[in-house]
Amino acid sequence: MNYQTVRGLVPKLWGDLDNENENPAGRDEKPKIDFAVHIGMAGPKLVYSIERRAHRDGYAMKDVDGEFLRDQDRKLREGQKWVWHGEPPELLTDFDLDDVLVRWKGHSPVGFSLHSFSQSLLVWF
Amino acid sequence: MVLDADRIQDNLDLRISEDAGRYLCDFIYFSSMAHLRKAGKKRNVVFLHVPSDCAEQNIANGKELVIQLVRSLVESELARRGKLGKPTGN
Repeated sequence: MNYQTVRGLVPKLWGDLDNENENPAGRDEKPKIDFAVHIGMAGPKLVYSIERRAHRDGYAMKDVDGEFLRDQDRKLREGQKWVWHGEPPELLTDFDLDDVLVRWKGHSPVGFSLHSFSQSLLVWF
Repeated sequence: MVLDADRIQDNLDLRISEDAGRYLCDFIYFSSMAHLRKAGKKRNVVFLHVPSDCAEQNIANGKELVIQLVRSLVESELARRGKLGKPTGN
C-alpha cells in the first residue's frame, strides 16, 4: 500500500455520501453503507486491537514503494486545498468501543452457546 | 452462516488501542474518518489490527473474531438507539 493510492481509494470506498438519501433514481445502484471495518496486520504479537483514534500528522515512514508522504510540503503548497485542511490532529471513531469491547469479549469465549447466537442472529438481520 | 466455535482458541488477547502506529493503517483510518467528517457524516468506522502470523489457527481465530466484532458493533449501535439491552458480559 502506498500513501497516494490510499488517498485516492478512500473516497471511492465510501461512494457518493452526499447523494445517499437524496437520489431516489440512483438508490438501487449503490447499497447504503451501515458501517465499515478496516482490517490491517500489526506485528507478530498475538493481539487483536480495535483502534479508537487516528492521527493527522507524523507520518514519517516510507510506504511500500519507498515514498515519503511529505504532507508538510503539501500543506504549504496546497494551503486550504490540502485534503485534510481543517481536520483536527486526531479523529476518533463514533462507535462506543468500551461497550463494543465488552460485547466482543463476551461473544468470543470457548464453548459459547449456539442457542444464544441464533437469537442474536435474528436481531442482527 | 455457520460458526465453528470449537476452532477458536481460548484466552485470545482482545483490546482497545489508542495508538494505531502512524503508518499505513493509521493513515487509512484517518483518511476514512476525515472523509466522513468532511461530508458531515457519523464516523461509523473502526480499524481492527490483527497479528501478522499466517498460521492456520490464527487465520481461523481471525475469521471468527471479525464475525464477532461485526456482531458486537451492530449490537452496540442497536443498544445505543434503545433497541437492545446492555451486554451481559458472559
